Parts: sequence; C-alpha cells; structure tokens
Amino acid sequence: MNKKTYTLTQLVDSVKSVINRTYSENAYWVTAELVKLNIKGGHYYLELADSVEGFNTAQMKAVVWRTQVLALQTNLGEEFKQLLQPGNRLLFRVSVTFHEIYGLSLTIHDLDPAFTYGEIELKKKQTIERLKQEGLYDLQRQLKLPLIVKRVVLIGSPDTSGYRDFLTEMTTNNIFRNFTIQQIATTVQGDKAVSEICAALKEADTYDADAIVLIRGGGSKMDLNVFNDYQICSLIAGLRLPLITGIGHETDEVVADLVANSRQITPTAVAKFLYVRVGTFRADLQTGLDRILTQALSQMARATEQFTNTNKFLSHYFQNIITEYRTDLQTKLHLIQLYTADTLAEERALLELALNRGGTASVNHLRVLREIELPGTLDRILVNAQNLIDISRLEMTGMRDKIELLNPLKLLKVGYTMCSIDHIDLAHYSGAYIGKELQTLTDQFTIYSTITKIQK
Amino acid sequence: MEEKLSYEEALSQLQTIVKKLENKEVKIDELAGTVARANELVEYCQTKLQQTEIEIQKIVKKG
Repeated sequence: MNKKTYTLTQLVDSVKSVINRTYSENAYWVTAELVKLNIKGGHYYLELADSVEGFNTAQMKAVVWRTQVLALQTNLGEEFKQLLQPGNRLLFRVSVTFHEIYGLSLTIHDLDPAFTYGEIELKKKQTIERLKQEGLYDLQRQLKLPLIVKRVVLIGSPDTSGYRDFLTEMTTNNIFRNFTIQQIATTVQGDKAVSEICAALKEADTYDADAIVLIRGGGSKMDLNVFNDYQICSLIAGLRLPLITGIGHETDEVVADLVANSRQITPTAVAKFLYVRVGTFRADLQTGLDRILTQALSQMARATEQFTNTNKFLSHYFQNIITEYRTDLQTKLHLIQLYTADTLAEERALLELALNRGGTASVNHLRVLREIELPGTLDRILVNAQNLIDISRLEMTGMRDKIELLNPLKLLKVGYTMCSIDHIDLAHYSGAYIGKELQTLTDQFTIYSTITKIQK
Repeated sequence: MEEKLSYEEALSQLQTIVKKLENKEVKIDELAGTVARANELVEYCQTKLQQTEIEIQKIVKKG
C-alpha cells in the first residue's frame, strides 16, 4: 500500500505556517490568571490559565522577553513585580507563536494594570460582602479599646521604615513612652505574606495585651492587596484583642482597615494615636483633679469665711449676752440685798414686838395670877373648906341625933321592952317558939320566960 | 382614940354603926358599947373639923 508520509518536521512546519499565517501578524488583549512564574536569564516564563466556575477551561505557557521586562519595569515600576504574582488575574497583550521545538506559546508585549486593579476592587467587594454575611465584619468594632493602651503586640516587618518609625515614635515622644511592645516579625509581601501574617495574628491574640497593631510602611496598590485577603481579614475580625491598623496609604482602604477596631493612616499615626490617648486620659485626670482641687479650695475658703463671720458674730453676740446677764445679775443681787435687809429688819422688828408682847403678856398674866387668881383661889378654897367643914359638922350633928334617936336604951327608959329568943331579936327570929326561952329587956332588968302558947 | 384614924375612916365607921342601928343588927350586949363608940367617933370628927378650920384661918391670915 502506497501511503503518503511526512516527516515530523514537515508537519510541524505546516502547522507553524498555518498558525503564523493566522496569528503572527496580530496581537490580542487576553485576560488570564497567572498560575506560575519562572525567571531565567532575565526572561519571565509564565503559566497562564483560565477557568469557569472553578474548572480549568484553558492553559498555556507565555513568556516576557528580557527587553520587554525592562521596558515594563520602567513603565510600571514596583507595580510590575506585584502584578506578576501568582493568583493575580491580568490583562496581557499577547501574540501567538509556534516554535518547532517548544510548541505553542504566547509572547507578552504589554500588560494593563488597570484591569488587575478592577479585579482587586471586585475581589475586595466580594470579601467585604462575605465577611458581612458571615457576621464578622463588625466584630472588632464591638470590642472596647481600653482608655489606656500600654501593652501592645506589634505585627510588621522589622526591616521597613514604617516599622522603625512606629518604634521611634513610641519611645521618643514627649507625652508617654512607657509602653510594653511585644514584637512579632513577619513579611508583609510576597508568597508567604498571608500565611505569616495569619500566624502572627493568631500568636498575637494569645498575649496579655491591650491591643494589636498591624503596620506596613506604605506601598503600591498591589503591595497592599495582601490586606484584602479573606483569610487575614476574617482572622482579624475574630480576634479577642482590638486591632489597630497602620498600613500606610491615604486613599484606598484595604479590607483589614475596614474590619479593624481602629484604622490609622500610617505606623507613625498609630503611635501618635496611642500616646495621645494616654496623654488625653492623663490630661482629663489632671483636669478633673484640678477642678476638684479648685472646687475644694474655694469651698474651703467659703467655709473659712463663713466660719470667721459666724465666729465674729457669735463672739459679739455672746459678749452682749454676757454683759446683759451680768447687769441683770447685779440688779438682782442688789435687789436681793435690799430685800434681805428689809426682811431682816422686818423680822427683827417683828421679833422685838413679839418679845415685848410676850413679856407684857407674861407680866400681866403673872400680875393677874398674883393679884387676882391666887387670892381668889385662896378665898374659894377657904370658902369651900369652910363649907365642907360646915356640911360635915351638920352631917355630924345629924349623925349624933340619929344615933341618939336610934339608941334603944332610951326607949327602954320610957317603958318599952325588947324581946329576943336565943339572942335573936324577935323581929328577926324564924325558929320554933313553943318551949323556947324568951328574953325580955327592960330599963331595969332582963326577964327570962318560957313560951307556952302563941296566939296570932 | 387612935391617932392615925382619918376623918374619912371615922366617918365611914360612923355610917356603918348608923346602918347597923337602923337595921337592928346590933346585939343587945354590944349596944351600949356601940353607942359609946359612935359618940367617940362624933367627938373625934368634931374635933378634926374644929382643928382644920383653925388651921385654915391661920394660913389665910398669914397670906
């Protein structure tokens, strides 16, 4: 079988001629993600890719020749290096070339940073949106920054001027220098920046400090893009300690600024913010103290004056009262003396009078006794005695007459007799009569007779 | 007559005698004695009265 055969060279030459005929005359603006970068002999070898919804849809090698690198570096400056970071989406001006040995590739003639900035902004917005959705965006601002921030954890790159500025400002200012600064060194750009900053943040949050300071001494938009990183920003949002940024740019904020507790423009500004805060607090304290002192002194002065016035008034008032009382007392004393003298005189007079009266009365009484009562009494005694004697005498006469009268012997003399039985008067006798002896007394003799018969 | 007999005692004895006489309580044998005693007592009292009167007069005249 007679087959038509070609050498590889013939085929590749044919492909090359087709490609060159179709593409080599034109250049195209192409967007792609930089996946990998190798620099060799001043030439930049890139691996570009494109994806839709996470799936690779195209991949191709590209090169920036050394001369072009130099031209781009001149045009873009530092940006060039930052733009050519793996992960960035870039807008390249490319032409398609085919090499017999190296195959199909793109030659990069130019790149437009504006596209990447737009991409950055877009990504930034997406990051902010995500942080908000996850409830992380406002967390830091809810933390209370202490009135005095004295213990600080500093995250930054020690080799940068911003870092040095911060330390200098903190230790040489005229307001407050007694800070405790725990430093954590980290790179702030390049491949490792994100992971190192994340590690630094995690470490910083474990210290017993008042706040974390994250600084970077300025840089291009691309330089600062690391601070838009979702991982870093979500970590900042979740910190226990409040974080202050001093990332060093004036126009555009990075997401780290937005989620931080406080955002200052430069590292120097952060230092100033911290010592001014202490100074303000101290000044407030001083002002308060001054006001208290002033108030206290004026109150003291008022009280002293009041006291002096009152004292004067009281002295005067009491002097008056004392004088009044003394006068009153003297008057009363005088009156008492007068009254006492009067009373004494009166009493004396009364006594004398009483004495006189008593004497006179006694004398009179004695005279009455002597002159009237005694003689009268004697007379009365005399009269009574005489009466008594007279009565007694009469009584005695009566007695004698009675005895005279009662004397039975007299009756016997005139012829009466007295009879008795057993010496009992007949009038009193109550015994038997017959046979008894009856004694009959006469004036001359006694007759004894025996009773033989009685007749009633 | 006893020296120490007071007027009141003498009078009391006299009154007893009078009472006895009135009641006829005096025995015949004692009658004469009793009367004599009464007379004595009367005399005694009369004398006492006389003496008292004189003494009083004397005292009065002295004052």
